Amino acid sequence: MPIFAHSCASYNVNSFETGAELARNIRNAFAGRPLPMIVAYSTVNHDQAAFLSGIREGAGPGIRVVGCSGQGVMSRGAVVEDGYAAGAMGLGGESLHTSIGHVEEFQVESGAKGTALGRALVDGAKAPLRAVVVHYDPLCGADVEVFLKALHEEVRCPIVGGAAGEFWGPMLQTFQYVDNRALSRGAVAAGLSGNFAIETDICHGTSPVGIEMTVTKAEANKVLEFDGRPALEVWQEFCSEAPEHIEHSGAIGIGLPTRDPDVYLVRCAFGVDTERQGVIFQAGIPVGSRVMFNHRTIQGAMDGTVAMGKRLAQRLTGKTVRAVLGFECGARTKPFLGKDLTLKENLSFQEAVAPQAEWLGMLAWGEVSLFDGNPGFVNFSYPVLALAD
Amino acid sequence: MSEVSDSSRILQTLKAKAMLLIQREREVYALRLGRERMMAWLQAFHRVSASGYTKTGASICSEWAAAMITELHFQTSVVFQHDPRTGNLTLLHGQSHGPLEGKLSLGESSRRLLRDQREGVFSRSDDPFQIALAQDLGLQRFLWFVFSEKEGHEILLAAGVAAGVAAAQGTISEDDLLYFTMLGRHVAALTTNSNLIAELESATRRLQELFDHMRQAIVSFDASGSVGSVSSRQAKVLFGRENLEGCHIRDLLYPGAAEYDVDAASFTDWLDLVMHAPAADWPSYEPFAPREVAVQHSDGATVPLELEFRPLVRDGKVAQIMALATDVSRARSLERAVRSHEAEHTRRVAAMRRLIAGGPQVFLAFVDSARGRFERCESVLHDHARLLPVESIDELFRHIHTVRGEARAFDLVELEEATQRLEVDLDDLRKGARSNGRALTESASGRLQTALSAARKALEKGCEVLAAASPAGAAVFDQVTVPRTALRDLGAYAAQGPELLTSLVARLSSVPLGVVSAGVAESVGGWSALEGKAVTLHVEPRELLIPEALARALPGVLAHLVRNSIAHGIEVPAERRDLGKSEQGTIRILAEESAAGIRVIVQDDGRGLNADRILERAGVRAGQAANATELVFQPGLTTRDEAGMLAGLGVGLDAVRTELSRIGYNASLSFAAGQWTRVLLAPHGSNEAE
Repeated sequence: MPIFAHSCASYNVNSFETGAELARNIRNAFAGRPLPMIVAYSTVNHDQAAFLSGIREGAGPGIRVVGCSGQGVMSRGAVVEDGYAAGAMGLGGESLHTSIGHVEEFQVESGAKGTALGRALVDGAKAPLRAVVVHYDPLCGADVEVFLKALHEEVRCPIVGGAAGEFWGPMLQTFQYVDNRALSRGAVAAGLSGNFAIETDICHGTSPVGIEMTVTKAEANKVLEFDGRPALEVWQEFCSEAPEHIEHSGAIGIGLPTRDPDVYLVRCAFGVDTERQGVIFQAGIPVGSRVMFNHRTIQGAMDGTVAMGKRLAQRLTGKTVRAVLGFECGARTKPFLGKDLTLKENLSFQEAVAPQAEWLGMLAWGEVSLFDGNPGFVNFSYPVLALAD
Repeated sequence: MSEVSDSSRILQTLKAKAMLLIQREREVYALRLGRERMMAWLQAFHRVSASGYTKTGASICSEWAAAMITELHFQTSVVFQHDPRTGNLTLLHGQSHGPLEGKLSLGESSRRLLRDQREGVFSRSDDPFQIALAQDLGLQRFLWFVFSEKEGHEILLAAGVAAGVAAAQGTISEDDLLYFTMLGRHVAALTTNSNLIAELESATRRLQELFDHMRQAIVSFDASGSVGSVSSRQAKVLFGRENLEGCHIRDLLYPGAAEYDVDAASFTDWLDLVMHAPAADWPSYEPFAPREVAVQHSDGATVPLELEFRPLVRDGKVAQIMALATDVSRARSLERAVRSHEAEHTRRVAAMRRLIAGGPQVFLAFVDSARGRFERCESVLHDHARLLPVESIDELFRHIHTVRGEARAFDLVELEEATQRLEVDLDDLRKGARSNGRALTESASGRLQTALSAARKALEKGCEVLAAASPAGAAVFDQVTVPRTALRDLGAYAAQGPELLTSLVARLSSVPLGVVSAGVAESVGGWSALEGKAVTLHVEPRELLIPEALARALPGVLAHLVRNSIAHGIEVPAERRDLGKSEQGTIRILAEESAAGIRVIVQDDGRGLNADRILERAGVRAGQAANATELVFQPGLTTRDEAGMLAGLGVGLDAVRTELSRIGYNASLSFAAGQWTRVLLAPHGSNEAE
């Protein structure tokens, strides 16, 4: 078998034991096959350092670990967004090679950090990279698009992934995993190379509310004015919320048009600057951009996932899907669709795409996928990466 | 002219819709979140209560510690035995994501705090006693509860986040403290009181307190469907009954339902099924439970309730079921409002689409027809001032009803309302005419005349709105859409024919100035924003017809000139303020007919030209004769050091002159330093001096 994968989830309370249990499970399933890397996600109830130590204990030396904390963890047949949830996937086999890299303080000189990370992945790869999975801290104020652009310049392959998260609510701290370390304000990535097929796709769950505006003043990823009015004032007008409550739960985002007339790069607020009346996003939005206010819709989210399932299934016809990694926006799931619909959405999707494949995902605070052939950052979406023989 | 255009009304509708959607979303999420948290506390309460039947005091505490982790998702829960004299703490039970320390000691500050404050939440960092307790316990953000054991020892219950863990456990709320304290008292009663009956009574009281605190209705019922003694205060309100004990749950959820009522019967079947199935099968049956019911109260009010059912398990069987009902009236009402806004928006967009698809003449055809109908109505009323036959009333009805329908199609709300009032009056009249003969009283006649006059005014106001919204202004009423090929053929034919026909064809192919400059007008906001300036554009007169050739060239020419004005002429707001000018710059596009043809002026109230800089850039040496207002038309000349988004490449004015020369026009520039810049576009050979 050219590539091999195994995924598992645990709802154990003890963080160390959880990590060890997951890694042992993966190691046993690999039964001596090459296991270069484990991708791991967990909720922040877990002691992150203990969780990673547990994985090391269970996996043994030499196996690289990459992942992040999430608002929740998705696995085959389950999406858990509260309490203690953790999941992991071992990726390897004869023809799948991996390389891992990380950068710290990536809000400083984000472009240079993207280049450095990209070089690390390329240098560590045995063959040209086929795909990159990236996770980063969405709360440190980095311009993710600048970072992604630089990363893409180096790796020259599809980049997918999600921003690390924590439980829905106040935004405090997220973690990015690399081997035994749980970083904050960092970005981690895994490069995949070898002889296998990859498919990526993304679905959106928003629709424009019909109000178009122009960004008339902005600095990096902080928009200061829409149509000449203070951005925070405009945002508050829509959300009817006090500034301290305006964040990713604000339920509204702004959409930047792409070449595809049906697709907007939707971005929601990740903070506010009350002093300068600005709204902070995860990526820069240049002055002069025409943006359309977008709102998530249940129908849009559910229909989008079904359509994505059909597209992927069609493209994967005749191939054996080994593993799927998903990065669903945390603002879509429990806070919006609710527990039941989220589960329904994911079970139907798993069934439609690859009922037998290994499955792992995290609920992200910002998603990364391909747009017009380039990696782009978006909110309220659900990108996936499928690996097949 | 009315300032309110259709587009701004649509914008308002959209905004209202967006805000309603967000409001509804937040409401639903808050309800969902609150309900989940309450259910988690209830599950913990039930778990501890159930352990009280079979377990010892120590095991009850252990059950409590487990429930804090698995139900409430705290990171750490600990039960310490505390010796108040020595401050020694011994860990009796604990659960955490990591190892817990078995022996601790409390300092004097912590002991004093626990003596004075038997329950609390640590969230503040400015209370030295609380900080001391947090340090002694090795916890951060936690709740605590202390109760005394018989032997003089104390039991300290605490749950929260372990210190040193950079975890993001959400804020502990006031509600959490309340529930935590209630549960703490419950644990204390169960572990210290040997009188089982008294324990159960106090547990019931605490459960009642807990239920009453909740905003949702909670009732529990047994296998027979009979509601138990403990129900929330809110349940009595939502189900509209004072005494719920002994009621059948079916009667509460489906009051007055007939025996054959499908929903009620399905619920009874479901109840029968889950009550006789193993508790492990609950997840399979739960999805078939009703999700929402509409309960009608005795006063006729209907309350939509969202339902959730949770099993209370004993010995592997579902012993009781807790039904949690949430009043979703407000959420439903918000949904209705959203739907209504959506319908309103769809209607307005459809009206605009009709206008765009058919051109303004569709609207004009309606205006002509409506005016004709109003004239006919006035004529009928005039002819039958005192005696109005039923057939004439019917005719009036037909006219007014038709106008009303069309008014709705064009979103003319005022006209629609005015014609509706007329219809009501006519209806009264028709009823009167049928019962009392054909009499038309003076007052009725006057009322009809007044209503008719109001409708006519509303129609004219609609015309004003269209003119205000149209880039062509009032000229829109003189426009017609014709096939371009037919017009071209006619032009070719007219070129050989008499002068009058030629001039008529030229008029037909001309375009109003407002339409020609519409693209520029729309872009001004974005361009000025790019330069950090505030600019208003005036186009006068919008109705003036521009001949075809000039109309083709003007959009590009105007774009160059207006961009130049914004980039070079208009100052930034702060500079204008310092100069005593209004912060808002003004650019005017003015046009007039002259004997030689149309003349267009583009003028701004900016700083004018910097002649020295232009001469320097053009390489003109001192003493050389050169005119800055001519040099600016040279290709490649710009006063900017670097090209910006709007200007700086030195192609603008050169392009303007080249473009205009193709149609026999010239561009000339004049300025007053610090005050204005003016570009005149006029036919070659005309008197270009202003």
